[in-house]
Amino acid sequence: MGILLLIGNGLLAQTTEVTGKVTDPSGSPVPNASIRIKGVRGGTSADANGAFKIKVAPSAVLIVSGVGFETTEVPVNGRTSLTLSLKSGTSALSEVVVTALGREKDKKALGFAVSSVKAKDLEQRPDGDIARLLNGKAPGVNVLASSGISGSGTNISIRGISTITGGASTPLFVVDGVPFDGGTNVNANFQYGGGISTSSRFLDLDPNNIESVNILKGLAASVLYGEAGRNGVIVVTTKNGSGRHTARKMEITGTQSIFANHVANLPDYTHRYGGGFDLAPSAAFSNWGAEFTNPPLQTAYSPSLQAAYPDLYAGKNQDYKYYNSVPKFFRTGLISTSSINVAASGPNTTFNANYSYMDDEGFTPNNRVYKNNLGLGGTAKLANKFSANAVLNLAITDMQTPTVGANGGGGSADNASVFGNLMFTPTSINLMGLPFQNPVDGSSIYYRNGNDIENPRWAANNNISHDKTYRTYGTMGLKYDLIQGLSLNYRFGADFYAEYQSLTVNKGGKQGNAAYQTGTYRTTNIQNTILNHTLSLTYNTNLSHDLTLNVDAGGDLRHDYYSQNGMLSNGQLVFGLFDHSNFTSHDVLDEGGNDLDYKNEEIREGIYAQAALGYKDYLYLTASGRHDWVSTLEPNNRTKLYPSVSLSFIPTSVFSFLQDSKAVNYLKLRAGYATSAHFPTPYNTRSYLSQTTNAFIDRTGKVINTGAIPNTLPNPNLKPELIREIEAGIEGRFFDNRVTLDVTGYFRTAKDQLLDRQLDASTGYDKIQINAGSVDNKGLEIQLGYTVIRNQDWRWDLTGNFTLNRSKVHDMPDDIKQILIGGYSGGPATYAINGKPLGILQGSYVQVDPKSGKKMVDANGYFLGSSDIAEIGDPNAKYNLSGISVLSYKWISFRMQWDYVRGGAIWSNTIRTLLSRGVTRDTDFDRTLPFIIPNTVKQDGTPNDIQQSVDNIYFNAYGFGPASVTVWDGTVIRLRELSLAFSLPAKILKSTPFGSASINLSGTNLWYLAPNVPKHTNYDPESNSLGVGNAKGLDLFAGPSSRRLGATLRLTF
Amino acid sequence: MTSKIKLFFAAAVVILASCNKQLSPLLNDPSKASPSAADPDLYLNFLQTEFKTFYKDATDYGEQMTRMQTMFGPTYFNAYTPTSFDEMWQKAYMSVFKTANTMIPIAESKQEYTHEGIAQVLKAYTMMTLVDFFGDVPYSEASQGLTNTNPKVDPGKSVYDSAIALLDAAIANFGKDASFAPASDLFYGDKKDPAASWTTLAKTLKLKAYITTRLVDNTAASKITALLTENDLINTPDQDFVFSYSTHSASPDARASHYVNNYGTDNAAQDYIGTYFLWTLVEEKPMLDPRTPYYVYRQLDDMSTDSRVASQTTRQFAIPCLYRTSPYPAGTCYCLVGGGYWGRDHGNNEGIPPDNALRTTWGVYPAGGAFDAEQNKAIGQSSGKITGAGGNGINPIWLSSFTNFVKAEAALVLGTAGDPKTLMLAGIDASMSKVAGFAGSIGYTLPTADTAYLMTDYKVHKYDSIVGKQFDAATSTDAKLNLIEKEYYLAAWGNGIEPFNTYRRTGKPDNMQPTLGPSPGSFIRSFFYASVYVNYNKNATQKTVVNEKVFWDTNPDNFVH
Repeated sequence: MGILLLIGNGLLAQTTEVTGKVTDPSGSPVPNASIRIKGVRGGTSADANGAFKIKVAPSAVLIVSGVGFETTEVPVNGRTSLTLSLKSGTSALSEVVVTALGREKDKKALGFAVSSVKAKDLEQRPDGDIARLLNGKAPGVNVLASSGISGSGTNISIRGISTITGGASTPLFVVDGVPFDGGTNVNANFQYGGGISTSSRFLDLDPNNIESVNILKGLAASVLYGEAGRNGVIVVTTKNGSGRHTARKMEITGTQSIFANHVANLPDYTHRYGGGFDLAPSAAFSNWGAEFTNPPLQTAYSPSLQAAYPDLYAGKNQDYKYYNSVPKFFRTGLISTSSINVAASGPNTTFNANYSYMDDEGFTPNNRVYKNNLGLGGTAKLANKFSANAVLNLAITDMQTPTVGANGGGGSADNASVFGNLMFTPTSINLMGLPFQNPVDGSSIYYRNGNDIENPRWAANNNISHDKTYRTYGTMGLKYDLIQGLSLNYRFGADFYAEYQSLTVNKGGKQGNAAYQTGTYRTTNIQNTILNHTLSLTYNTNLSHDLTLNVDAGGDLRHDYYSQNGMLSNGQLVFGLFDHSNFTSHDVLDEGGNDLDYKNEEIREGIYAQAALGYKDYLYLTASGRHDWVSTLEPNNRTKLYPSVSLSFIPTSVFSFLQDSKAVNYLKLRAGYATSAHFPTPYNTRSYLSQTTNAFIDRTGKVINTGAIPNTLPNPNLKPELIREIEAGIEGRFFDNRVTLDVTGYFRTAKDQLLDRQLDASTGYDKIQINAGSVDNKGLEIQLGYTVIRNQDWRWDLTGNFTLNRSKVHDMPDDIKQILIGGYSGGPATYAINGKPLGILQGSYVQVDPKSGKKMVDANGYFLGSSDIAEIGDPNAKYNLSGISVLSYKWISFRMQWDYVRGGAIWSNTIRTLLSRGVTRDTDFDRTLPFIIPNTVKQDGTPNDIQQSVDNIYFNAYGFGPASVTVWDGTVIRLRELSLAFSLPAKILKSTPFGSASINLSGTNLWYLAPNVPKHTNYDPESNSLGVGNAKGLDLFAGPSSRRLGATLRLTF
Repeated sequence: MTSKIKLFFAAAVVILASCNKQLSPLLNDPSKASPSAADPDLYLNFLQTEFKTFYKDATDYGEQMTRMQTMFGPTYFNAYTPTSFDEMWQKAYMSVFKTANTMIPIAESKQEYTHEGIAQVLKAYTMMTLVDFFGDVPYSEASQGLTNTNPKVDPGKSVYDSAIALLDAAIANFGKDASFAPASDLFYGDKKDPAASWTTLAKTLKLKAYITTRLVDNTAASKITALLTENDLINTPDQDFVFSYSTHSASPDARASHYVNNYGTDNAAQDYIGTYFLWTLVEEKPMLDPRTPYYVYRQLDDMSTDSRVASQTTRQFAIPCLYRTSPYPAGTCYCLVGGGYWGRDHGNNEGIPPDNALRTTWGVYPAGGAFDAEQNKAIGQSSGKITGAGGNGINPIWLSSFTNFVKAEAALVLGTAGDPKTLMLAGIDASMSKVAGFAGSIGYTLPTADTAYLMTDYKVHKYDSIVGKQFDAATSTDAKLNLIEKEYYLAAWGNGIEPFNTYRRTGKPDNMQPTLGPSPGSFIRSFFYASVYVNYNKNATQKTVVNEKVFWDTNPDNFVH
C-alpha cells in the first residue's frame, strides 16, 4: 500500500496542470485545435473558444495543430498558463487521419480522398442510425433510408454501385480497427415486410460514443482491408477506442436528449368527396363517392361492426363526412437518449467508459426502438516496449414495428402491411372513432360489408415484427517495439451477435394468405460471429535526410460464421398468445417459401504489404498489394492478388511563388490507381439436391416427400472479380485559409462481374452465377468551404458537398438479354442492360402512335398498354448537393443542413393509388364532368374523343394502367438538419462543478419539397420498399418519412 | 534483430499454409443433400405434385376465357400480363420437364419402367398444354441448361408430335415388367394394376391430341378409329384421371386451390364464377341442371328476401350492376341469374364490390366446398361459417364423360364409329354419376337428404330427355355439335383446358356472353408468352396481339368472341 501511494505521489509530482488558449495571429481563438505531448501517446483538444487544459511534465513539449494552421511545437518550461499563437498554414496541412488498419497518417501524404466527420456532427442527434446521420456530410457517400419507420434498414453506398447482383453495396464498417458487421439480416422477402421491418446492424453503434468517422472512399484507401473494403470503408473510432488523453484526470460527460418524432409527410386529403364510386356513396375502397353535404348524408354501420357491437351500432346511422382519419392514425413519438461518458488518463494509460440508452418511439403505433450501449476501453504503454489497448462494447438493440410489406394498392392488401390499406383510406371512413377489434374473438372489424379488408389499427396492434439483438464486439491489440522504428503488432477482434427476430400475427386478420390469417408466429434465431486476427510489422525510417520510408506488412485471417434457425407456425389456438405450442402447424420455410434454417461459413486469409516513400515534405509515393485466399471458391480459383499505387504532391511546399502567394495557402495534388477483389458468397460452386419433406399429404394421410434438382445451376469455374479504380484530386486552401476546396474525380470499373444471371426457365434453370459483364462508375466529389466571417466573436462557415456519379453497364455477353436486379420480375423492376446506367427501371408502357408520337388509348379510352417491358425511368440521381451553414457568435452556434437531390425516377405505388382512388386534393375538381385523357390518340391515329367518367379514367388508366404512367421524378430539396446550440462560457461555469455545459435545440427533416410529384400527395421520394440492396426507385407503400424536433443537454464534470 | 524478422515471416508462411487446408471443406453447403441422395421415387413425387400446380394454373386461365370464371378484362389485350404465365412456364420446364428428364435414365437403369412411363405421360400432357396455350414453344433446344441459354421455339406441331411419341414410349414402358412400383402414385396408386390404368390414360390422351388437332390432320378420323377399335380408353368414372387433394390445411396446405381461395379464410369468396356459366346451369334449360347444387354454392340464396341486402344502399354497394341497364341484346344473361346466382359478367373491370360473403362460389364438386341446400350462410373457417367438405376436392384432368363427348364430336364431324346422340347422352350420364357419387367417394356426408336438392335418377332422365329432344330437333351438324359441346362444357366444370380448346376448335357453345365493354378486341387465341421467357431469352419475342392462332386452330379471325 505504501509503495503504491509512493508511486502515485511520485507520478503526480511529475506533472503540472497547464491551462491555455490557442489563437490565430490576430488573437482570435482557434477552436478545436489539437494539443499533443511530444513523445507521449494521446493529448487533448481545445474547446470552441480555443481554451484547453492538460496535465504534463514541466519539461514537456506540446505539439499544437489546428486545421488551416501550421503545426507548432511549444516547450512548457514549467509554465502553467500559456497563450499559443498559431501561424496560418502556408506550407503543410498537418491534419492526421485514421486510414486503413487503424494507421494514423498525415493527410498530406495520402494519394487518395478521405472524408472525415467529427463527433460534433454525429452526436446529440435525434437518430440512432449512424448511416442516416452521415447523409449529406461527405461527398460521394449516398444514403437512402428504406422508410421513416424507426429502426428500419438503411442503404448506404460510396461512389455508386459497382456490382449488378452482388448484394447491397454497404461499405465495410471498421470499428476501433476491427471489421464490424453492418449487414441487414432480412428474413422475409421485401414483399412480406422483411425489407423495412429489419434493422441494419450498424444500428448497434451508438452515435454518441463516436470520436470520429473517417470515410475511405476509393480502393487506394481501402485495399489493405481486402475484398471486404471494395465498397469503401467507414472507419469508426469510438471514444472507448480512441486512447484520447483527457484534459483533466477524469472527465464525466452526461447527455440527455428529448425529441418528438412526427410523421413528416401526409397527403392533403380531399374534404369535398367521400368513399364510393361513380359519385355514389358506398363502402368502396375508392374515394369517388358523393360530394359531402350539410347536413351530411346518413349511412348504416358495417355488418361486422353491427355484429360485434349490436347495442351501439345496429340499426343506427353515421354521418357521411370528412373524418381526417389518416392524420389521426399517426402519433407523436418521443425519443429520449441518455448517455454518460467517463474518461480518465494517466501519463501512460487512458481509460474511457460509456453507457447510453435510447428509446425511440415511431410515429406509427407500436413502432419503437430501444438501444442500450455499454462500452469500455483503455490503452497502456508499458515499460518493457509493449503497449496494449483493448475495447469491449455491448449493445442491446430492440426494434419492433407493425409489419410493412410491399403492396400493390389493391383493396385487400396483397401482403401484410400497416400502410397497405391505410394511406388511401376513403375520407368518409371514421377510422379512429370506431372500434377495430371484435371484443369476443379479437378479429378485425372494419367498414366493408364483407369485412374483407383489415382495419389498419388492427394491423398496427396485432401484426408486429420484432428484431432484438444482443451484440458484443471488441478488440485487443498488442504492440512490441522491436527496434527503433520497427514494431510488431497483433490484434484480435471479435464481433458476435445473437439476433432474435419474430413475427407475431394474431388470428382474425384479413391480410396475407389463408394460413397467415389463422395466426402466424415466425421466429428466427441468428448467430453471427466475425473473428479477426491480424499480425503485422510496421517500420518507419529515414533513408536519407530527405527520404522517409514507412512499411506496413502482415497478414490477417477473418472467419465469418452465420447460422440461423427458425420456425413458422400457423393456426393460433388462443388469441394473443405467441408460443409455438399455441399453434397447430409448424414449418421450416418462411411465408415466401425460403429456408429458415441455414448456415454460412467463410474464411478469408490475406497477406499484404504497403510501402510509403516520402521525399522532403512534398512528394509521397505509396505502393501496396494484397493477396487473398477465400474459402467460397474452388482451390484453383480462390486466390487473387491486387495492387495499388498512389502519389501525393504538395506544390505549395516547393514553389516559392506559391509560398509567397496571398491567394494560395496550401495546395495538394494527388492521384492513385488501385484494385480490389470481390469474392462470391459461399456455396455457389457445388451441386446438391433439394429435398422437401411434407410437400403434400394425400387423402389417406400419406406424407409425400419430394426430391428435386435445384433451379440454380452451380458453377465450379466461378472466379473472383477484380475491381479497378483510378482517382485524382486537388486539395487546397485559399485566401487566408478562408476558402477550402477538395475535389476528387474517379473512374471505377468492375470487370467480369460475379453475376447472378437469370435464365429462361425453358433451359431448365432460372439462375446461375457467372463471371460476366462490366460496370463502370465515374464521378466527381467536391467539397467547398468558405469562412464568411472569422473574428473575435463571430464565425460563419459555409460548406458545400457535391456528389455526381454516372454508371454504365457494358460488355454483357451476347447471349444475355438483361439482368434483373430487384423488384417484381416482369412488373416494374430494375435491370442491368448493356450500354445503360445500372439499375434502369423497366416496366410496361403506353404504346405510342408512330406518326404523331402521341400516346395511344384503347377502344375504351384508357391507355393502350404494351405486352412487353421497356425502359420507364432511371432511378439514379443526376447529382446530390448539400449545403451546411454554421454561424456562431461567442457561445451560440446555429447550424443548417440543406440537401438537394436532382433527378432519379421512382415508380411509386403510393402516388398511383392516391390518385387512382381519388383521395387527395389533386382530384378535387368537379367530378360530374366526363373526362378524356388529354393529348392522346386512338389506335387509328385520330385524336382521342372517348369520354369516360373521371373515376373510370383514374381507376383504369392510372390505377391499373401501364407501369410507366406512375413514374415520377424524384428531385427533392430538404432541410435535413437545423440546430441552435448554446455552450455556456467558462466565466459562467467557473463557480459550478461543470467543466462545460451546452444545450442544443435541433430538428431533422423539417421541410422538404419534391416539386415534380403530384402536389397534394406530398410524397417523399426518400424511401425504398425493397429495403437494403442495390435496387432503387420502387415504392410499394414504404410509408411516410419522419420529422424530429427536440433538445439535448450536455454537462461535463 | 533480422533473425526475428525472418522468424516472423517464416511463422506467417507456416500459419497461412496450415490455414489453407481448412478452406476446402467450406465449399459444401452443410444444409443441403448431396446429389448422390437422388431417388426416383422422390423425383416422381416432385413431378406429380408440380404437375398438379401446372394444371391448376392452366385450367384457371381456360375457365376465365370460357366464362366459367370471370375475366376482368376489360379488353382481351389487357386481361393478362406476361407475368401471369410465369408460374406455368416455370412449372412446365423447371419442374415437369427437368425432373422427368433427370429421372427417366435413372429409372430405366433400375428397370423402374412404371416410374419412367408416368414421367413420360405427365411430360406429354404438359407439352400439349403449353402448345394449346402459347403456340410455338421451345422444346428441342430447351432443357439444356448452359449448353443453350436462349432456346428457340419449335413449331407447335412438332411439339405435339413429340408428345404423341412420348405417349407411345410410355405405353411401351407400362407393358414391361417393372421391378418396383412407385412408392407414391398419386393418380392410380389405389388401382389393382396401376400400369394398366396409366396405359389407358396414355391412349386416351392420344385421343385428346387427335381430336384437338383434327382441323390440321386429315388422318384424324383413321387415327381415332384405331383408338376406338381398341377401345382401351377412359370410359368409366373409376378410370378417371384426377388429382385428389385432402383436408390437410397447413404445412402443407393440401386442400384444393379453389377451396383455399374461397373457403380458406373468413374473407370468404375471392373467385367470381362467370354469370354465363351460372346461367347455363340455372336458366338456359327448362330445368335446373341437377349438378347445380353440387357445382356451386350460394352464400345468399335469394336476393329479394335476404336481410343482408335488404336496404337499397347495401344492395347497390354489393351488386351495382343490378342498377344499370343490361348492355346486351335481349336474351343474353346479365348480372344476376335466378334469385341468388351471383356471378360477374365477362370482362367486368369495375372495382370489387364488398360482396365476398354474398357472391356464389365453388361447391362440393370438384373443389371440396359446400353443397347448396339453401343454407343461406357465408363460407369461411370460423364457427358458424360454412366449411363444406374441407377442401377434399379433385382436379378433373380427364374424365370418362370427356371421352364420350370427344367420341360424339368425332362421330358427328369425322364420321367415326358410334351414334353422336348416344355418345353425348353417355357423356351426360357419366358426368351426372361422377358428380352424384363424388361426396361418397371422399367420405363426405351431404348436409341434406332432401331430394329437392340431391341428384335423382328422375332428374337425370328428365335432363337427358330435354337434351335428347333438342338434339333430335337440331337440323344441322353445326347445331348438333353445339349441343354436344355445351354438354361437354357443363361436364368439364373444374377443367378449363378442354373447354378453351374446344371453343377455339369448334366455336361452341356458340352463345357465350360477350364482354361487358363494347370493344374488347379480338378473343385470345393464344396467350402472351411468360415474362420469364421473353425477358431472359434473346431469341424470344413477345406477341403484340392476342389473336395469334396455335397450329391446330385454322378457324377465321373473328371465329369466336
